[in-house]
Amino acid sequence: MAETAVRRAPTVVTRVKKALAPLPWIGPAVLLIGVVVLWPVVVMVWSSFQRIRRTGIVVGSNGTDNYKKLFDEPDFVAVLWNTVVWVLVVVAITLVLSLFLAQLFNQHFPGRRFARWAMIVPWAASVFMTAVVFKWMLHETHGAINTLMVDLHLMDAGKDWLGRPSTAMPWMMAVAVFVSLPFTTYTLLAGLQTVPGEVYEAAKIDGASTWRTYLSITLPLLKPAILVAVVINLINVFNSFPIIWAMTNGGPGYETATTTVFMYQLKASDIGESAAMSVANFAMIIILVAFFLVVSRNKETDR
Amino acid sequence: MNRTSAVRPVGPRRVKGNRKVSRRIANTTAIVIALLTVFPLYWMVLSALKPDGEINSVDPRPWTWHPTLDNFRDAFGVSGFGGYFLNSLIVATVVVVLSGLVSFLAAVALTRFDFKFRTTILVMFLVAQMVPVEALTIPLFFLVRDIGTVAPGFGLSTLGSLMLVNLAFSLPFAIWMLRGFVKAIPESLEEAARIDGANRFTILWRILFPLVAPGLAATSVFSFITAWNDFVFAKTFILDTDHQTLPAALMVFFKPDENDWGGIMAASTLMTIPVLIFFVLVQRHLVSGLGGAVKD
Repeated sequence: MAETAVRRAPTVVTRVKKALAPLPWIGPAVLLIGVVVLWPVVVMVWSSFQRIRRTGIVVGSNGTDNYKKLFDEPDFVAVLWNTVVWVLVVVAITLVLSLFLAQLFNQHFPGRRFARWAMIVPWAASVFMTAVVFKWMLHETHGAINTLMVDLHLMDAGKDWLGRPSTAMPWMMAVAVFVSLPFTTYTLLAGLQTVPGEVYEAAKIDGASTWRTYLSITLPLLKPAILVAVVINLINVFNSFPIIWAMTNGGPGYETATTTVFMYQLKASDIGESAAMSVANFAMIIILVAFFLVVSRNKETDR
Repeated sequence: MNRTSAVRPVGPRRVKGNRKVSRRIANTTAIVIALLTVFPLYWMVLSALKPDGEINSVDPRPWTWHPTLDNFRDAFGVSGFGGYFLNSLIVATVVVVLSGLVSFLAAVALTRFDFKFRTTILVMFLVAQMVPVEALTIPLFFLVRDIGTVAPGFGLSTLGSLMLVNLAFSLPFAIWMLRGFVKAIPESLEEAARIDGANRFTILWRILFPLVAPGLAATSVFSFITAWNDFVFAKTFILDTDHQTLPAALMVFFKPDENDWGGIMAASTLMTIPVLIFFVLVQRHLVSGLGGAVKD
């Protein structure tokens, strides 16, 4: 009796101790992310239901009027469409090119070191600066790209690429792909190195063709890396702001704006509506990523 | 290179010839791609070195016979440039060190402890990763202002505020990456050490830390880039001139009518150099470091 009592007393203590044990380890991270990242999100959601003066002073509740105003915005559908195209095209092209590049860089050849080094450059330079350099290279009269194309007789005279939405969008997508390639390629390269060499030897003995080997062996083994690369790219490309902001400001008008840029443009006229756009934006990316994760998980269990 | 080809079984001659050709193709392709990737950087440095007349020429050439440091002089001439540079360096360094430490601890907790809210916390970190920074400038401004009334070192117009916010925003990804790393280390290693009488700290410092080091090197790249290249937070929190960071110096050259492209390119070059140096230092660990993120 006494013995069990003695034994039971410490179990309560140890249970509490056990529950609190991870706290000093995880506490700082949870506290920092909670206060600095997630609390502002809560404020953002709250302010999307408020009427806010341009000076930032909250006048009172606005119900769902901010959202109504946002969805009634004549450019809203076009901006939404821009965003869909922007995300899908950039992520898809980035992934395909990176799969190719990772495969290439995983081979042994003399120029490999140089090529791997070069791939780091767009990663190290800030995205904003890269966009500015591209804007400079696309300059109508002093730009490198126009001069090169005229010299090669591809065009008669320099073009104002960024002045028109139909040419500005593809160039900005190219820049977005350009800055997304290094991380994606390196992630896939890391994935390729987890594939054991014996698997390929076995396939070779079986007489499988290179393409066949790639499709049936490499790609499935690369899946965790592809998953990480796609999720991170979806998030980054969707939230991408500096490229469009530096190159066209989302203009003319809102014609080259994605929802993220649109949200920033709205901030100048109506903070409440801008907050509503932020919330809608955040909801979209969460749903997008969740949807992607669920779909890829389902496929996994099918196998 | 010789080592790998020696290990491979010697195939028929045709295959060997094919391999030679394919290697040459790989080599050429890779070098072409490498040149394309480096070109914007080359054009940036070149534009920075060109004299004004050549920058505004309607027929820009991919070289210059009259390199000049005038643009760099202009960049350094931005009053307070040295101070801005130092501020950027201090903020980035502190963020890298603290981010490594905090995310390492969190990664250990998430893989080595079994607790109730683990999944909730993981989801919370993933959601935090998706937060668009530009959307939060106004709430963050008020948060930092309020923090400043309690802890003046982290209030508006302090380097502390930049450290705090950049640190918090760099954490989710760093933790996610390191988690894969810690997970891959067999727990039996730690158990063996525990039986030998090692305490928690010794196990952490002597066993886990060295094994996670490549992962930490890779995460440090991300936190360094986040902090070093940050425009948004610096523009939002820093209201005086003493605590500005480098992007402020760059902004001087953007003008409403026509930008001072030479100055922009020179300041951008100066801003890129430290990041490149940092990458050179950790490049060796980058591939193995990212390996942590892609482990399931």
